[in-house]
Amino acid sequence: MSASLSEALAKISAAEGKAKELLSKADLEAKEKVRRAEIEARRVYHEAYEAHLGQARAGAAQVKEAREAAKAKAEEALKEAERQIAALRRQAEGRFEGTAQALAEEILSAAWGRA
Amino acid sequence: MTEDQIVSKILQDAQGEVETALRKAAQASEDVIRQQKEQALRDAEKAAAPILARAKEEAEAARRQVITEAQTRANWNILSEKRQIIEEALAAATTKLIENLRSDTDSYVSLLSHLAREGGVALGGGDLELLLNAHAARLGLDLDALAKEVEKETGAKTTIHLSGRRIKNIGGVLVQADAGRRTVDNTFEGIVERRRRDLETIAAKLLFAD
Repeated sequence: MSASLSEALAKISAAEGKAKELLSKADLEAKEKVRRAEIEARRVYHEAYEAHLGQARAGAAQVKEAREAAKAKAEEALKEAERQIAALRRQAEGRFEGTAQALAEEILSAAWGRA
Repeated sequence: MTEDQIVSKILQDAQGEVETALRKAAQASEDVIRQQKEQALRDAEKAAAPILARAKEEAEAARRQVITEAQTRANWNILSEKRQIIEEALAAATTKLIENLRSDTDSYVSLLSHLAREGGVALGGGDLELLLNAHAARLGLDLDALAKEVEKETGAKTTIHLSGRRIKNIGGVLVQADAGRRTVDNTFEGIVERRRRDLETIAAKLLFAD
C-alpha cells in the first residue's frame, strides 16, 4: 500500500468516526427530547384534566342554582294564596250575616228535631 | 472522487441524519403532548358526566320539593282561613239564636221543654235531673208536666228535678239519669257539635260558593 493511499484511508476512517459520534450525540439528544416531552405531556394531562373537571363542577353548581329559582316560584305561590285569602275574606264579609242567620235557623230546626 | 470529497460526503450524510433524527424527536414530542391533552379532555368529560347528571337530578328534586312544599302550605293556609271563617259564622249563629230566643221567652221555654222532654225520653225516664244555665233556670219550666209527658212516652215512672248546679253554656239543657252516670247533651253547643259536619257544609256553600 502506498503512503498516500494509507493516509487517505486514515482520513476516511476518521471521518466515519466523527460521523458516528455525531449520530450518537444526536440519538442521545433526541431521546432526551422525547423523555422531556413525556414529562411535559403528563403535566399537560393533569392540567387539562383538572381544568375541564373544574368547569364541569362549576356547571354543576350552576345547575343547583335551580333551587334558588324554585324558591322564587314558591314565594309566588304563597303570595297567590295570600291574595286568594284576602278575596275569600272580602267575599265572606258580604255574606256573613246571611250565613249566620241561616245557620241559626238550621240549629233551631235541629233543636226542634226538624232537621 | 478525491479523498477529501469522500470525507466531506461522509460528514454531510451524517449531518443530514442528525437533522432528521432531531426533527423526528421534535415531532414525536409534539405528538405525545397533543395526545395526552386530548386524552385528558376525554377522561375529564367521562369523569364530569356523572357529576353533572347527579347535580341535575338533585337540582330537579330540590326544585320539586320546594314548589310542592310551598303549594301544600298555600293550600293549607287557604283551607285554614276557610275553617276560621266558618267557625266565626257558627259562633255568630249561636249568638244570634240565643238573642232571638231570649227576646221571646215563651218560645224559649217551649224549646227548653222540648229539649228536656226529648232527653228524658232518650234516657228512658226514671229519676231525672235537669242542668241549666242561670238564665234558663230562672224561666220556671213546668217539671211536673214534663215528667208526666216523659212517663207517658216511656211508660216508666218519672220524676224530674232541677239541679242546683248551673252550667255555663249558651243555652239548652243537660238531662242526667242515675246520679249523673248517663247524660243527654241537649245544649245548643251539643246540638251544634252533633250537626257540625252538616252545618259546616251549609256554611261553606253560603260563604264561598261562586
